[in-house]
Amino acid sequence: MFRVTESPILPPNPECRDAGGFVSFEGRVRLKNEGQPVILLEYDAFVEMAESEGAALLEEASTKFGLVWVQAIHRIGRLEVGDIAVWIGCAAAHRKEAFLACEFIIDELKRRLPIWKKEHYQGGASEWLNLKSEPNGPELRPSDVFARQIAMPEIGPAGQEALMQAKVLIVGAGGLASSALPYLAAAGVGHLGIVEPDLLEPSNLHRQVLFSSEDIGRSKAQLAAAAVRRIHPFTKVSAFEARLNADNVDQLIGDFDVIVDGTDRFDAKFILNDACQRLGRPLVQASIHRLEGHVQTILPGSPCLRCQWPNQPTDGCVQTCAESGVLGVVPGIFGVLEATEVLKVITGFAEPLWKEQLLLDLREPSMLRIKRTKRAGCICEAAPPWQRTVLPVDWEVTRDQVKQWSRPFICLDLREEWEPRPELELGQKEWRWSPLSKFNRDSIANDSCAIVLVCAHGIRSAALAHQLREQGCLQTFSLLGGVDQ
Amino acid sequence: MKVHVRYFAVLRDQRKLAQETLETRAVNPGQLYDELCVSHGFTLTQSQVRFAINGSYAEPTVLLNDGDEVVFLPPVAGG
Repeated sequence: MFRVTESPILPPNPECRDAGGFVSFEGRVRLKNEGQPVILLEYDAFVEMAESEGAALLEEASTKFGLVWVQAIHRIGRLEVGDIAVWIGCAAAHRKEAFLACEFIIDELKRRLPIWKKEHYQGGASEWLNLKSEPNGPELRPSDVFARQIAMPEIGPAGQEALMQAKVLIVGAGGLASSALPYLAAAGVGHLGIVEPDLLEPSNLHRQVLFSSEDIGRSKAQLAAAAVRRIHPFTKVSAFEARLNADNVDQLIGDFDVIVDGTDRFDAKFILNDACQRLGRPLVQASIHRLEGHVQTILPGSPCLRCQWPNQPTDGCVQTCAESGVLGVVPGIFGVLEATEVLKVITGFAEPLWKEQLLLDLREPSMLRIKRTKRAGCICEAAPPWQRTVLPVDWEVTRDQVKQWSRPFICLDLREEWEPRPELELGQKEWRWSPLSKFNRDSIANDSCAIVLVCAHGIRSAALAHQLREQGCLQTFSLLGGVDQ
Repeated sequence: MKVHVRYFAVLRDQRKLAQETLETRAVNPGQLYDELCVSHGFTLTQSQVRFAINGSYAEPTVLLNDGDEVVFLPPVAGG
């Protein structure tokens, strides 16, 4: 029996009269991680899957070690130093099995369960860590995995955070998804959903490079999910073994921010178009034919598929991939273009193809962009306006921006006592010194005007601004580059 | 009137050409498509195809001008 809870763990007292040995383990929040003082820890889990995987693990341990009683509880949410994060209890006829089982369960639990922890360090910084990817493997940090991406000014820490919060659903786990999915996962998209009813067939393998010949006959949704989970542990993956239809579409796309069309049927494409317009979700769309294809992004209220095709084409009016053939690289290229559109939609680093359609013929190769326009009376006119669910950060401000503000603001200097603390003239009402190590949120609770956090390089201030904004202090900003810039 | 025509997907397959410049008496892309249907045996009817003129989607009845680039866009669903 395994459960995930948000309440403090109260270790259960096992009733097992036929056990000679009972071993329990408590995993607690410790004060330091690799030398950094931890003040708070946050656990997040894909609860549904954690509970089913956890139950399967306890079942396995029970059989393997002949346990007479076993239970494990994992806590999620915000924990403080000293709190119990995980509790495991094993009872067996003899102590040896109980000890071994307990160790086995904690190692495997860390390896298998979709649970992430975020450490908040003294000083305002915080970081998501996975539970170890192998029993003795190194802990992976997002800042290491995504370093080259964060280094791009177009993405930066804010763009990465937006990606890690984003939920993307791909409908169809075929050729388009084979390239779109691994790139979206690798980029750090927080949650990926995969909808696909079919089992892997030999004719899929020449283009659906996510799969291998030994998996023929298995669920493509599950296989794709497993392939994506292997990339790194920061992406939650949900597999839906279902065929998209008008009845299940709202439920499937409802929990996701961006939808990707990886289907090969007109009816599915139009069902997705209509539902995305109705529910206000961006839809990234591609279709291919032999050696060419097109890609476009349909935002709610922007020209949609029905503007392009007032008469919905029927399946069978043109040949499918099965009939006309397709070169394997073609869906690969269009899947990558779809992934690029998704990254643009999430982070806003560039305008997605929302008013145009990009046609690409890989023979020459030639490229054509065609402007799309809205059709009067089309369903997209009634679409709720779309807003980026994860807003690109506007809380990092430059010196020049701040100098042009007409509103009053306070500069809050987060530098520590031992640091040199030159002040900066930005037109602020007040310069207040509040070292981060002693920072208390209440100290700014009564300020009604904007607060610009400053530190030496803008890193600590950015982390604290982000944290405070999450807690509802929306008038908090961070000085980009800090005072030393 | 001379127009430049580009074919995509199944139309390119059936025309066995990506593009051509041709002389036509058709006044709009719909008529032009019907003309070409006769000479090349396209399997899709005019109502199943969409048109773009000079880089923008256009209705089949929009008037053509000398030198226009006309793109025929058949439905594509592969994935």
